[in-house]
Amino acid sequence: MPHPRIAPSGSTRARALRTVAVTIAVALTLADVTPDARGADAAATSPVAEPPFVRTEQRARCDHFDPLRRPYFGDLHVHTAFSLDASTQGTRNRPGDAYRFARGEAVGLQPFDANGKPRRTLRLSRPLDFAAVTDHAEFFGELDVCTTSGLPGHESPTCMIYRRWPRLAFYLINGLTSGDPKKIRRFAFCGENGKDCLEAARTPWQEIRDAAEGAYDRTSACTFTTFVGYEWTGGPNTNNLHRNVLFRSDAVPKLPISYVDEPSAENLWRRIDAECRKSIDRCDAVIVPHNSNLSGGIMFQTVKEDGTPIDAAYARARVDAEPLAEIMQHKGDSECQLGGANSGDELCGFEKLPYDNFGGKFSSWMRHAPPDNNFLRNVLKTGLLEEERLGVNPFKLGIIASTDTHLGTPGAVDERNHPGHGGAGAPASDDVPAGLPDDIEFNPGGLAVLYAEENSRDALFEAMRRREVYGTSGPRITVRLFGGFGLPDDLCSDPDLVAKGYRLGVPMGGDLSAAGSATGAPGFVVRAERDGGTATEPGTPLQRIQMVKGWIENGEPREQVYDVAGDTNGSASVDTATCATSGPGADALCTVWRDPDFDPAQRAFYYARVLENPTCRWSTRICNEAGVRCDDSKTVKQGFEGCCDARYPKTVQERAWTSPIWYAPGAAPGA
Amino acid sequence: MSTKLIRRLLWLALLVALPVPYWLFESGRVPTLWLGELTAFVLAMLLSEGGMVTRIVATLFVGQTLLFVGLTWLLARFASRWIGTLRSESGRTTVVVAAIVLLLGVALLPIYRSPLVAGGDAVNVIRLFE
Repeated sequence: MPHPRIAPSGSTRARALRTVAVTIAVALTLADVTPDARGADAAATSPVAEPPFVRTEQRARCDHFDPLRRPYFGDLHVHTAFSLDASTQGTRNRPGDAYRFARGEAVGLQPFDANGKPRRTLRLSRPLDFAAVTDHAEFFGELDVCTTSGLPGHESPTCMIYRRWPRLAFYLINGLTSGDPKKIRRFAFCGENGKDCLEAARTPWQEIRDAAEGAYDRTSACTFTTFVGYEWTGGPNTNNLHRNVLFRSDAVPKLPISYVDEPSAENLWRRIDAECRKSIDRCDAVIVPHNSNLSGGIMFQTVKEDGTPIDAAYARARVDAEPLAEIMQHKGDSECQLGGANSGDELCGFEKLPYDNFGGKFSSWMRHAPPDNNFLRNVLKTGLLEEERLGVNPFKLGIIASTDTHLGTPGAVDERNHPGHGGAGAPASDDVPAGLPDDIEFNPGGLAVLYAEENSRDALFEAMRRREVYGTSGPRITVRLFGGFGLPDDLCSDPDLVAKGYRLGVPMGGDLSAAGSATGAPGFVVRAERDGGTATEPGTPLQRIQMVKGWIENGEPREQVYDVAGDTNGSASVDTATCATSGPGADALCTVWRDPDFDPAQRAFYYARVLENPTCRWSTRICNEAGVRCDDSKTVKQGFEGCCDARYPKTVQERAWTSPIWYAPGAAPGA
Repeated sequence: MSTKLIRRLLWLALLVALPVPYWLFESGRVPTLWLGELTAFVLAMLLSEGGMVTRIVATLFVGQTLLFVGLTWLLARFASRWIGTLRSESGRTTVVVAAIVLLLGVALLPIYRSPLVAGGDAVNVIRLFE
């Protein structure tokens, strides 16, 4: 639905003036209504006495505006038929369908019968609060040319292969982005300088923007928020450098900057800054790297692309462009590595892939031991080291998770009835796969959780910018984390925990000031509530909360995991034959924890990890339903061989990871 | 019917119907003619677009196609020589026709598999070329 837009202005001064004007207007508006909304005490302690964010768009103010912020659950990594690896697997859902699904409607899934009727349907048990369709931008135009008769290039051999043997086309066309980045170019059938495909790319890009606008709830009910976005799909020599670009508003570039157009991540940051922030009124974006577990160690390096060591300017550009990272999704977990650098953390063995780059999936000779910096915990530690050297932390990363679905089904994270997510997983274009519907090493993916005052683009985007976000491996676990030097020990029993957390400390994603370190170790209040689930599918009780600390000691990175609340013995269990669970568990856990090893001279980060009791993994549920018994080979039918592959666990311990809180000796912003 | 004609007819039937294994990231079992068709398209793409992955795929397809073209030719050659030893002309014709009918008849059964067609389900020669 069309909506009034703020008229663009080419002048920086005009933009600055209008920003000030908008800020004042929002401040006056808030001042007028917030006491009723938050209560006198909250008003006195609120972190948002000043307007919490600038509204860059015209929309109704949300009825549920909460200055103490609420968690909103969503999915920021979604592919539809506009992605090559989705369309070549028969995905027909388009961006509008994906948003319908996110809002709770049923959508059809491949395979389709001769009449175009889907043979499978899927529906979320609970709608999401927000979503972003992030299709691979590299071949928007190529796919449009290949599927639209009459366009130049439609009868090229490449397009004929795409239409006749889409799975072969997946390998051939994707080959363009998986080789030497210096040799990347548009296909010859795209015309001179790729102009025909670039022109054709406008059609899907416009549909993506229109779908986001159509699904965005601009009424005061604020039921659902969308972000215009896309995926920059860099994959030099099959190492994953993929990043999602998420725009703040409907003010976006005329075309996405894809890996074909810009094969340098460093230049992507610069171009987003130059071609969005500095060129288009109201345009802003965050870039979210994902699947560092498949990056062959090159996603987070301490050298630039030209091999020279990174410097402060690089670090500033990087941390400004990339404030977040995806810790977990369909293609595995990127938190930490069991047995890797400094990690004796047994819970790191969670949803791990048996290869460290995409090539390793297809060829055993391309598999290597995963480098330490494939995993975010090590990257966070490297960030501390670099901060000591440069004065700027290039890897100050907030944490989210998402699905990376290639079926156009955002938020489809249920371990029960997992349909597969396509993409690199099992295809279902012609028939429902016989056996497991996904490759055994994959999983249903996770969710992103953003703490915001309301469910609107500006509020959610600001949450991403300040890193007040966390990720879950699927369940809607609610986690709050505050750190500070003045947090009282009885905060868990205080009804004003959140208000005091903001007033006396900083939330997840924030920085602890060294100013308070003279009073002793910082305290961290962490409160978690289980996912209540639905009436028919209740959630799982919580097992425990852990605090993960990384620090620098004598120039060396260190880490320690502390059990801080709940059942540290892990007494609960699950019967993998029936998936029945037993043992103790908590509906909610809360504690105020102080670092017993705190050294005010050591740079550090702290994040919380919340664990549910173990449950059956998606594959175990399907294997059980199929009657597979690994002690009887006759029951292991074709397609179910993965059920008995000892490399993959039968259970899963779902979890949530908060963004870290950083501590730096010396002056720092924050509490 | 000359031995040369017998060889050519049998070779053609083998190219159309005899399932041969192939590998391209994933494995399948298809007639050589289908491999040849795929090879032709990939070569056309290689000529127009180039690219390392296309070159690798084309090389794999060309190599496997040539291999099975050669093997089927040898098979047809041996078979035609044996048939040529039969004394009666009608007997030779009957054997050749029977062999070709048998091959083409079997080809109508779902004995071929390729991940590129029908999701890897078993299909017959008509579905394979659709």
